[in-house]
Amino acid sequence: MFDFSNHKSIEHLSFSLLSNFASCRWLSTALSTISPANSPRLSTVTIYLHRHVPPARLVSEPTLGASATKDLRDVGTEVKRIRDESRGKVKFEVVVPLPQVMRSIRLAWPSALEGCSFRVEY
Amino acid sequence: MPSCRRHLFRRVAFRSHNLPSWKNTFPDPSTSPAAYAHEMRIHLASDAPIQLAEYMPYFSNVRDLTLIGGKCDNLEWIPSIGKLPTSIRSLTMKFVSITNAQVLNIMGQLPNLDNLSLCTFKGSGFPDGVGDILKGRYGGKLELLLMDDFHASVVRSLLEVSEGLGFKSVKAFCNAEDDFPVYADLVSACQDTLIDLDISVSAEGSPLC
Repeated sequence: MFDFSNHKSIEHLSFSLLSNFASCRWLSTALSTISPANSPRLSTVTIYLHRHVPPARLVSEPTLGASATKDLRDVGTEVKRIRDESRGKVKFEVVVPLPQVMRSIRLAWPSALEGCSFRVEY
Repeated sequence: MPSCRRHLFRRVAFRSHNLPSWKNTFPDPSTSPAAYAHEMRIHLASDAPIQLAEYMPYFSNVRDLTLIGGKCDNLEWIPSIGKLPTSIRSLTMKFVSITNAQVLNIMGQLPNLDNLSLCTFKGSGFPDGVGDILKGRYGGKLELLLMDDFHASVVRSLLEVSEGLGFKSVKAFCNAEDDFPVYADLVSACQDTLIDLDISVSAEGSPLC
């Protein structure tokens, strides 16, 4: 799995989940290796959900699935830790193709991806 | 006139149909404006390989080379391109399919290669131990948008480069979590230099390019 514990130069991290995914546990695992003390230049982490999925499909089926939503809760836990350890210096952004996707996540688990700013972009 | 040529021929693009025009206009390669070209794009049509070999040495200052083609499995087009200039620092290859021999033949010629972008839907894997063939510096940007099992093979080959990897930017597409180990190794190999990482994951193997 990805290990960022010794990445002293890293500034930008971007993770894209391109299509309907069953699990994204790897994402919270990867984030758990980030230490702002060891990566002092890290400034932004961007998470793209449902990238390149046809909007028509998302309108009729905007949910991520129970497993993926639970995984995103764990992502939120890591986001909070990194934000706290960096004293807010590291910014987190979640990009979704449609607002419905974000609403479905918040309905399923209100604290999922807590601490992230959200942007709609297709 | 030289200053005009410097601007007019900074970017050149060759297709099967316009190469004869270049040859007719500049019959003597040594007096052609080839040396002013910094960016070169070659479209390799499946039905008409471009015969560039005799002209290629004169493009001695090309920094960025882009090769675009369709299915190249059965084409002997690499010899038709000839020896590539060592000035090339950025290589972009976009193919429907390509063989490992074709990729290696190109990459193995470029000792100053910093940036590599490889996009293909189908390819055959590299054999083990090809890292010694790859002489590039690999200190710039790496972009891998690959289908099949080709990507893991390419990454493994890059990890074998004896001088090590120093990519500052990595953009990669994983078909599934099965690809993670090899990409994790790639990310670790660049841990001292990596500034920007963009990892995309699809459980369905969705095409990107």
